[in-house]
Amino acid sequence: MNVSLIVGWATSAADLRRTLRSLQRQDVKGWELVVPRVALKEPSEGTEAFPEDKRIRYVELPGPLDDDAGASLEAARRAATGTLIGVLAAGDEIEPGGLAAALMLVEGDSEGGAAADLDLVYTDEQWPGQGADGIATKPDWLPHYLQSYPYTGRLCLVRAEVAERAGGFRPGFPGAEEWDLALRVTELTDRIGHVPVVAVSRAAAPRQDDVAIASGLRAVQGRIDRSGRAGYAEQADVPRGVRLWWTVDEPPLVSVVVPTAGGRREIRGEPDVLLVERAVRSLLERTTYQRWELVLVGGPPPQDLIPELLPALGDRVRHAPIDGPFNFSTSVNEGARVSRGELLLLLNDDTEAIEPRWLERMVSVALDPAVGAVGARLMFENGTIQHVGVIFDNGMSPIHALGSEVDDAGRFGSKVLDLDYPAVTGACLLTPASLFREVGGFCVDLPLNFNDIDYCLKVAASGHAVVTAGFATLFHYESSTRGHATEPEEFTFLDRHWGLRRRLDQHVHYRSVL
Amino acid sequence: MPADDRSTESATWHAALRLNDDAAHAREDEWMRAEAVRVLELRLTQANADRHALRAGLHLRNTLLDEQRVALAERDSVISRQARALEAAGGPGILRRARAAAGRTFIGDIYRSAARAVRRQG
Repeated sequence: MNVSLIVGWATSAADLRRTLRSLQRQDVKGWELVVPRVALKEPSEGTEAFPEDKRIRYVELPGPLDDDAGASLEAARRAATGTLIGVLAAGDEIEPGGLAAALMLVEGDSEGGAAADLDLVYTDEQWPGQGADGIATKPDWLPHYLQSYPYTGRLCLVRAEVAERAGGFRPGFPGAEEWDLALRVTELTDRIGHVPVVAVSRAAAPRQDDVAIASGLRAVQGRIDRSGRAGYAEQADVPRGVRLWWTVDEPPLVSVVVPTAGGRREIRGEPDVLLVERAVRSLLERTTYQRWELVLVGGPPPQDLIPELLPALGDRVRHAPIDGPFNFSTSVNEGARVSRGELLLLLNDDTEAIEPRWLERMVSVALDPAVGAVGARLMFENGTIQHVGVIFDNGMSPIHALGSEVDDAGRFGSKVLDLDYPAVTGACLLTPASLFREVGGFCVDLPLNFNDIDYCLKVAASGHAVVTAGFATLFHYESSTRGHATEPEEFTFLDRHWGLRRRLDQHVHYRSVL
Repeated sequence: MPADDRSTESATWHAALRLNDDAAHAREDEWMRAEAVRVLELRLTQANADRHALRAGLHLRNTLLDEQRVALAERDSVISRQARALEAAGGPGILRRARAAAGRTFIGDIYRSAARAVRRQG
């Protein structure tokens, strides 16, 4: 299999030589380096600068290069002869073994591993930066992250035939040419793989100037336009980050299902706070999305529990009494039974909205028919992260990704953008009511823990994505009413039913590959 | 779907959910039996790719270390040759005297001191 690596930007001969040398060091010999001749700052050097290697090929362009490399990349792509194409800037270096590692996933290897028959494969990368700032270890394929952030970056090899079908590189996206192509390619194929190997050292960090940011917004808007559905792209609070908002004329009714026993606790020095009252008040007073009804499950009826909120709630509140011993799954299922909404929001009574558009955001993400469950970013009372998604550790036990970390955007927007996860917490989980019924709701064999994990894994098994909308931020005064302890049989349940699917957890950068 | 009608009585609703839950887990069991080998092979390929790149990196570093070892050996040999030449020209102890004169151990200074000592001796 041959690989064509394309250089689309202006370069000095010295930078190009550095890239060439790194390729010559590869143990894979089937590559070519395709360069628009005008890209050379000193074109007189031409091919004579590199007489020793015929695998560098020059492409003639009619005009000079400018900031928008779409045309030059496309010209080089058309001239490329490889079955896979990738983009480099001159000065980028492929790390030893990097090319072979990427190809192993496409072609399989000689040591028992399978070929994945991929159309797109990407690797980890690095660039000059302080500490870990310039090291981009990436997750496996996260489609919703790609429409939020150009995380596939380099090295990203695309099957040439698929790149052609996607329309190749396009002018008009300076600084986001590769992202624009990756978005279009991944609309055509789901045969996408990740090699968790730092295969490229960039000469410079990826662009995050205003031009590149605007290009990224246009690229994501292009995805929306191609989908035929309504929506818009909004700049997120992280350089190059984008929030994609799906919209509909008639917003769906959300049934907010809140299991509660009327628990109280101290919050920020205020003693004896009725938790459910605080949660409902934040729905009423701090939530922009208006099409919701409230379903209180268990506990006293609303007129006894939150009498002062009833005038504001009107006929939007319903009550589902619960008999028998406590079983969180049964409570959730009963709440779903009396719900009328197209979407169910499972919400703990010890939560409180921070971002006013939190529910708007979660609903927008749930409007994507590929999505089956949406989670939120939950903060501890002290302002650290409680939840942005659930991953599995080396022992395949569920853990909170980035738990207890400070409240910032995270590396490459990981705490604030949309990211696919294997599971999200049931403390704040939005899901289509029809899907909830289809997969059997929450499993009553898990009365306390892991019922949300089990639910999300069932959602994933049904072919739907589980996504955390990091923009949707709430406080979670976690486990105010019961302890944290997990029982051995709860782990046994996960092992029994989800032994393999947990290994598909995309967040390989948190653990060993095996 | 058994649980589609949400107007159902509680017991019917929960029983229908339970059936769907069991069916979902049964489908997963089936999927696991069919896909386990493929999934684990792909993980193995990823791990092998990781190992391949690590080996290649190690190989490059080994090569660079070997080159440095050879360069150092060549340098040692040049220094020894020059030292022998100086001893021959300046008589026994010329290097020791030069070191004392320089009061430092930088090799360049030693040779310059030794050369000056040789010149002084005529």
